[in-house]
Amino acid sequence: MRRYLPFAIIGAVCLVAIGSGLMLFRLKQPPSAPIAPIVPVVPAPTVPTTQEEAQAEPDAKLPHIRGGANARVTIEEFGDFQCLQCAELLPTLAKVEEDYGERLRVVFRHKPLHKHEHAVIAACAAEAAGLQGRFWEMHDLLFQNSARWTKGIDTVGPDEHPSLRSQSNVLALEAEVRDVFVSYAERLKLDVERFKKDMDSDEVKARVESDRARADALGIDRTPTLYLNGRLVPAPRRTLDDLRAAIDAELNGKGKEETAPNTQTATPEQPK
Amino acid sequence: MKNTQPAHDHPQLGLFSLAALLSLGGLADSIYLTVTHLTGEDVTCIASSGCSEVLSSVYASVGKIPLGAFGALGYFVAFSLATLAAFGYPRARTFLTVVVAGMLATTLWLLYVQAFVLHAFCDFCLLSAALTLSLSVIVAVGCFRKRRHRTATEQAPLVES
Repeated sequence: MRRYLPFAIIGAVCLVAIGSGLMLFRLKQPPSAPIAPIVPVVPAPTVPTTQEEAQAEPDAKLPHIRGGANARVTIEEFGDFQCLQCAELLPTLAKVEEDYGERLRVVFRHKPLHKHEHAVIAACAAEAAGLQGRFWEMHDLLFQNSARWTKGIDTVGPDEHPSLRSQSNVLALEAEVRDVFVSYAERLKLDVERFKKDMDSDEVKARVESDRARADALGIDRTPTLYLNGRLVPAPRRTLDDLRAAIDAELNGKGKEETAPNTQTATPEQPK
Repeated sequence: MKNTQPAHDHPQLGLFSLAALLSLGGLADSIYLTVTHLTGEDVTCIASSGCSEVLSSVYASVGKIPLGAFGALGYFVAFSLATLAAFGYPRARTFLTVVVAGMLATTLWLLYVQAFVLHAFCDFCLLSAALTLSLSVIVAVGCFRKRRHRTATEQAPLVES
């Protein structure tokens, strides 16, 4: 009996490890319930089409959209400008946007995480730029330089530069971060005084909070969280090849059959 | 065949049980890191500030496989061998030494990457490094004791004569 005991222990640990890993994986999955992804191009009263949508801030402001207004495929991203993974996703999304052009619509919604102390002010900076019609330009600048502005460095360039890597990991003060955002506004040739005022305006804060409330209501607790035509894109499937395959499947009409866990409620509205 | 049988004449139950327990700790840590990598969750550091930076770097995975998965495999193998060694399987000790040496080399490389390439540290990676270093010490002590025991056994007949 003693002879088999170590093998029994090893087998038991193996089973417990696999079981706990699977359980943890299921617990840590972001909500996979489908959401209604289609955003009306022309502002119209929103009618919730799913239970989640009904609970998820029906009056959430219209999000920022890039790509084809009537595209059949919509990627909706919930992002945080201080989140490294979001910044790393930017080139992938830029590539699919370039590849699919008008056949793809990319939507960005704010989900500033509470643990990121400058995420809200960064979202406000993007919205303030948006009030002057330059949301996406500021969005790209913020993500491309997130390792810089979080440390109060106001230059722009690749974040992987060795001199930047050797900088301390200590975050900059909010005042320093604001100064960097103002320098970005100057770079984008915005009305800087208006930009400064707008960053602190109630309108901009409400806009950011509206997105965050929608994300919270959907149970989103991490960034980036991507939905493709209303269905969650799991983190390992956020690679360029996987996104292309998923978009192709949607364009060929195969996406719903392949991935929709609940097609009854997942059916997206057709673009108007 | 003879070498694969349990050898109860030189029990190091305590030492290898400790190695097995440390391996279990490493296994849990690695499973957590693997799951967070696969679910895309942003890991929050408690003591350091570089979890996101380290765990989202190119060094955090090999192709599509998170490094944590390799760690989990390594710790599970180490646990299995430590358990067998605790039960007196002599070959398990030898294999455990080889596996832990490999894990130590990987750990030193990853510490170098964190310190000199990424300039950021991650709590969970440091915990894994501490566990691997402890495992290395235990295995080294086990080897030392084994050698001393062998020397004593070889010298015993000489004393008698």
